Amino acid sequence: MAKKDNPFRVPENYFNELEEEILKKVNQIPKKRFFFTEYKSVLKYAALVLLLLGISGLLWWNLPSKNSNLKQEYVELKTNKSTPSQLESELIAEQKAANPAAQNQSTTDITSNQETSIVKTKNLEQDNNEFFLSEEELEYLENYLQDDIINDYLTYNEVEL
Amino acid sequence: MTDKELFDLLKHKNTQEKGFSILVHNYKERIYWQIRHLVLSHDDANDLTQEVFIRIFQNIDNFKQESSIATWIYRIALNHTLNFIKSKAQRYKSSVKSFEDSMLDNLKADKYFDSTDIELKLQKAILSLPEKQRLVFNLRYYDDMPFKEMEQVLNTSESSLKSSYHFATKKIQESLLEEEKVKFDFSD
Repeated sequence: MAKKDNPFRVPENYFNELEEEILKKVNQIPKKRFFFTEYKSVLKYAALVLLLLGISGLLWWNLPSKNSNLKQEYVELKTNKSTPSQLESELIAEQKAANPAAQNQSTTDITSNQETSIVKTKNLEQDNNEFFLSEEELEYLENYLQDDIINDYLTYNEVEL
Repeated sequence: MTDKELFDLLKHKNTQEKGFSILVHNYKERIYWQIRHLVLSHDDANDLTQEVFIRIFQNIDNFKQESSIATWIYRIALNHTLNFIKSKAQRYKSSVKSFEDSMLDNLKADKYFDSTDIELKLQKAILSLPEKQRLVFNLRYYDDMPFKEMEQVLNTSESSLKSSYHFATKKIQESLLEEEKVKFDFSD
């Protein structure tokens, strides 16, 4: 038996037709794929830049600016440098209407009285670590502040009756 | 045309199509026969050959010239063909008839195969080999591929390939001698 008789056959002119068939199919492959192949490295770097921008944006958004606002509010509350709240203003107005003597007092005066009282309270607290409210202060608290505001005030200023 | 010249044509977009048509012209027969000896059927070999060349075209930009163009092409062809055989064999897993028997039956009926008795017996013996030995045997016996080149294509050491070929030929000879008193000459 001859070595390597090839029992396998192909149709006539098969290999010429095969070449044409392959080239025809290859020409039908969409050319737009080359965009991604050619610019793959550029797209890679662009994606990386976008990712870094995204991360930077997230970090910047979460910067503690809100906390510093909170801190400022806390400081204001402690020193009571802020203007009276709307509710307090309304109460003050009501008391003014009820108490003619207080009508001449401006909101600022009342507020500054408030400040004085609180400063006094704070000074007392600082000096002796003891605290008490004068009659004036008590009266003020009863007249001008509602219960819940009283409690808040007391809580913030750590005043005990 | 040298490998480098062909590679230069393939790398540049303007000359890529020209380079690819040269590549197809040079390698179409070798690739076809390599596939045909594994799948046996002309129709399957025809489809697979076309798919392989389309894959080659789509992956030209990924070719890093770490091996010769021929090695690169054969590797693609063999991987694609083996995947095809595996997927086809999967369908026969639960079947009564084995995949190899099915291939032999198709071969007998194939009009592009000279189905003499001894040829069928030889193909049956080759089909009974383990996949690696069958692969090595086909590349060596039918394609005359040197072991050095086979080493790069299959990523296996030359000594291992020679050993596989040796065992493959022994098994085939034993198988044929059982049925026929004719010896095939498998000498290198």
